Amino acid sequence: MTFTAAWLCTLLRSLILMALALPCCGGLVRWIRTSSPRIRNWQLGILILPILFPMLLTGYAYSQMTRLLITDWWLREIWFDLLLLLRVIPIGTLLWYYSPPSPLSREAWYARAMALHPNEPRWQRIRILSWYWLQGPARAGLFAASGLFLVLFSEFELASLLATTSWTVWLFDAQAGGLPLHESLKCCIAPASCTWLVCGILPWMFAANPLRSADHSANLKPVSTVFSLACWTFLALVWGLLVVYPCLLIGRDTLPGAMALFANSVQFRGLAQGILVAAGNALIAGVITDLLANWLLSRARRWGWIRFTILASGFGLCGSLMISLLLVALFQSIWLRPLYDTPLPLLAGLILWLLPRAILLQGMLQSIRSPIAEHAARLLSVANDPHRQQTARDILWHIQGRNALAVRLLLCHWVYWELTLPDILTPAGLVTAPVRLYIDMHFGRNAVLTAKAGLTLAVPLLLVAISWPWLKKSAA
Amino acid sequence: MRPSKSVVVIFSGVLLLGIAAWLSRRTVWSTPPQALVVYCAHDAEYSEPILKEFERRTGIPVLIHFDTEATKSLGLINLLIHEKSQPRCDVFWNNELLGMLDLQAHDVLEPYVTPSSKRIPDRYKDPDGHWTGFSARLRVHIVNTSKLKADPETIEDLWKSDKLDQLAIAKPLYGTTLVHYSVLSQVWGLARLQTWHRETREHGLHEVNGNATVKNLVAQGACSAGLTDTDDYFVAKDAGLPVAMLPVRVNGQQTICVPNCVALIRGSQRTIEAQQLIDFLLSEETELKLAKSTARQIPLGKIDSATLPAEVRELAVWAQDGFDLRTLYPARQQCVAWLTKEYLQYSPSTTAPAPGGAPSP
Repeated sequence: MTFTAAWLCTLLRSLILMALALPCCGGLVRWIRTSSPRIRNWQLGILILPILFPMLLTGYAYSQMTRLLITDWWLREIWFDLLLLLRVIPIGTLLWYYSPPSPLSREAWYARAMALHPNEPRWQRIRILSWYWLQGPARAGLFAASGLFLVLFSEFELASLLATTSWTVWLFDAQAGGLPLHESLKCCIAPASCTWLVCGILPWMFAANPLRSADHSANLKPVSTVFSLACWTFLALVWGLLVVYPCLLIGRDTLPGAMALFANSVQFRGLAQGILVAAGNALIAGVITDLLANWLLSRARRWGWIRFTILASGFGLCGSLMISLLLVALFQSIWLRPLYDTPLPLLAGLILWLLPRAILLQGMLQSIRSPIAEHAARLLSVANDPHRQQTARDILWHIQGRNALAVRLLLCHWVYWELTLPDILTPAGLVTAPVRLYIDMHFGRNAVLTAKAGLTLAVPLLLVAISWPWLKKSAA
Repeated sequence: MRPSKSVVVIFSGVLLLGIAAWLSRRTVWSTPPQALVVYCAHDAEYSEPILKEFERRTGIPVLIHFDTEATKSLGLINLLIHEKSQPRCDVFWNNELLGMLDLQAHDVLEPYVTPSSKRIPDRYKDPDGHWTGFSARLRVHIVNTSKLKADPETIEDLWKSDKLDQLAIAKPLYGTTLVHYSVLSQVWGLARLQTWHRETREHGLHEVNGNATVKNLVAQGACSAGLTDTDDYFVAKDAGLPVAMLPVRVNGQQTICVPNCVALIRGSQRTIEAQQLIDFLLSEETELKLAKSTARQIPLGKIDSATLPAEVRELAVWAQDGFDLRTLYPARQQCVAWLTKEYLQYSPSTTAPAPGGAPSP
């Protein structure tokens, strides 16, 4: 298959899956918004956790379903599409749910439709109403669709492990076959343009002034019991196929694996060191990218949205493999050579790769912020009464702090589990824990792998749990 | 989060990196002058204890950069070629031989003829000392014994039949399957290999992503037999799965024995320490350790056979019929060019030196 065929095939698949996922996301959003606040938190938590479960482990588990790998290509494709769909629907739902409120309400759109002259030509009518529809009621769906497309189009790990067609896998194999860097970059132009085009929509979402007082759940009728049951069943399916089954499959030999790991001091020390490196990279790159994204967004209006998009996401959209190759070439140049064996190339790569995501998340955050409420809470926080100060801190935590902290933790999570960039750019002797896991996956040693995966997952969670009071206080 | 708090978090990250660097006996910002940088394509589970043992005995810090399947694209061979002008690596421990020929052709390796290599047979080392082979693995047929009798005749009949959907092989673009294809290309000629490749796929041969997947397919009974390496086979055997192995014999005679290789990198600033490590890796002790590991690597040098596990003794007999891989560089280049066109439908512009630049046998 040629590269053009591979990326067109990926494009077609992404568009079809996006079209299938979008109504589901809409339904789930409606379900969440009509639920009581207490249940809503549960629903959101259940949606978020499968997204955070490392795709590396899910993909590995399904690559062990060997009969699947030798079945007809179309059956494999259907299975791959199903898994991908289950993975992206929660992402699309969350994007939709947290999308910036639109500057036009449904009522305003209706009023505009009523205001049209009865003799207005049909095409003119359709044009005007479509434009207002996109600016108004359809805006959140469009936002979710853009995010869905970006995730679907750049999928690599699952496509590679299930041996399906994708431009990312093609490029990977071509590199192995000796494709020179400049030719790889040439290949990247078409798919990167595709993603860049879609990314152009995202800043536009943040550019307009949203309705600050927009209440998404206003005028929504509660969903039926059957619909609610269907939503819970869907979440169970997502959990079962993306989290529980992979955990069961990999976790069969946990005990002997853990014993083997603890008995082997070299391996244990190597893993501990790998966790420290991954956590260190995550904290540095995650926080710097977050700060950078904030700074860039604050200058977006001054620079203009097009220039801003190019600056912010130009490199990041090439994918981690291309970024790594470019940085190796760059840091091998005479001027930068002294910095080659330092963490700088890796940190630069991680920041470039993470920046588009950080901007997307920060943009969402900024668009749902309420500056008036924040200002009022800050005024309250300087009151003399300690009780009032505490109340102000609680309010600030709820309206701003917890979202900002969630974004930062998510960015750190992505860095922690990233595989390609650390593997290529890490300084000698500083291997990250996910890279070590990947080595075990190749040899299929499930016992030790489970113990290592368990520790790699648990340590950052433990770190967050220990530092939670401080994190909460700082975020508020 | 206020900027001052962000600084605290970033500082914590630097601190964690600092502790990790201290554990691996380097600093965050640089490699200590006395530390050896080793690029290692061999599995970390086996290689790391050996390298750490060298570190413990000599006091020379060893910083390891492992290879993974994730970055075949810029695996260690490509990385070494990229870094050729200003290398940071001192010693390269590769898990196969053809990559060494590629590096030699790119002038990345520094010759080092060591007394330790005297115990290694000539066909597993470069006469000028650019690289030296040690502990090897074999290409084998892995057979599911609950589905098929593990004898050469049965396997041969299976390959000769028109229905090959009970057999599996890894994609030959890289790894030891590429070595296998290069051997076949040398023995049969490229045209015959291409015909065989096409016909086997038409008859249903399953092609999967790697040797480990071939092993899984056979061990779990999805296929009756497949082509893989001995280390993958032993993973299945140790898991108690119903598998047996038979060596792959080219034209019914020679086996394909793929050695680990070690080489000194041209431009290394720590030549003496690097040579010490090479000598350590080529020693009888290291070969014995690798033979006793779960990978059961076959010692290539002289070693007291009584000290070897029984399974390795059997493998060592097969390895004696090993094909001479030193002459394979032109065949490999031909195969890579053909397979790239076959799988990716693009003709790579030549980045490696012409076959004339390849080492002579």
